[in-house]
Amino acid sequence: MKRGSSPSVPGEEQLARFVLYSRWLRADGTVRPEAFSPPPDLNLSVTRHASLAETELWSRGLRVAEQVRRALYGRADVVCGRVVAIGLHVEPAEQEENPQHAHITGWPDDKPAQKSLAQRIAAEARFSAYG
Amino acid sequence: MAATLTCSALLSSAATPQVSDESKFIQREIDLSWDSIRLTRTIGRADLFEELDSVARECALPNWDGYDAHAVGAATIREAARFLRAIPDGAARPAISADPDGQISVEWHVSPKRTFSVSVSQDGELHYAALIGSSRHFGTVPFLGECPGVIADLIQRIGQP
Repeated sequence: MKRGSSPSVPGEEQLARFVLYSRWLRADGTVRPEAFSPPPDLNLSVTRHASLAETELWSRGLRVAEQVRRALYGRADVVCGRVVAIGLHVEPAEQEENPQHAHITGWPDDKPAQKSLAQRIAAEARFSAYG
Repeated sequence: MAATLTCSALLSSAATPQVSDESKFIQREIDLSWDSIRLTRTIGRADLFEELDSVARECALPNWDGYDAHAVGAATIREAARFLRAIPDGAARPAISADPDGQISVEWHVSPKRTFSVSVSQDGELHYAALIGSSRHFGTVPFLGECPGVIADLIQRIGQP
């Protein structure tokens, strides 16, 4: 896929990153870049808002948290177009339990470049606490 | 704090005879790291080392973030403790966390567009990234016991009005 392209996810669509580790949140209600740092396989899991109602979105987050036996602290939402604008991709990656699941891909190999991109995404993200 | 409780429960179970060699190894490595951290506390910054201590406990086993993160190992904790000792006097207090690849992250944050993060690897490399308005800085420098100039400069710049 061409770098920065994202044919299947509309640019205006919101992507939710469920936060399951408390230290990825700051006291001022913002989210730290680590929440958007890619995992070792470089496929960062997010859930597309798509047509999900707020309650459905939270239920997806709760399901994710239950599967891995973690607490759900909230979600960081970012607009797909912002992610694509910095050179990453958003690729649908449907799961049986979460049809709106997607991956943010296209990460560079080197760690500092990854950190810089995660900082930019985090700067654009809006955190909503659960509960 | 479910993650903390989960890790604690798993770690306490490492004391039972039924646990695997891997669990025993992890427990031993954590004990060694805490010894290192306790020694380092003698120079001050005790609250920072308490925070590092907590992160070490919370992230000692894989998947601590729910997304298949790597465990934070003893060598990484030791390097992070050395780096914390090297932060210039008078610098703002950073916050400590962990990265999905098992590195320790140390952050100085003023606002989303004025933020600086350093990740400490087990090999003693410092991966840094700063966002200062529309200006971005990032790179890798070796940690040789003293705070590298580029890191010290960025800590100072983040703190400036």
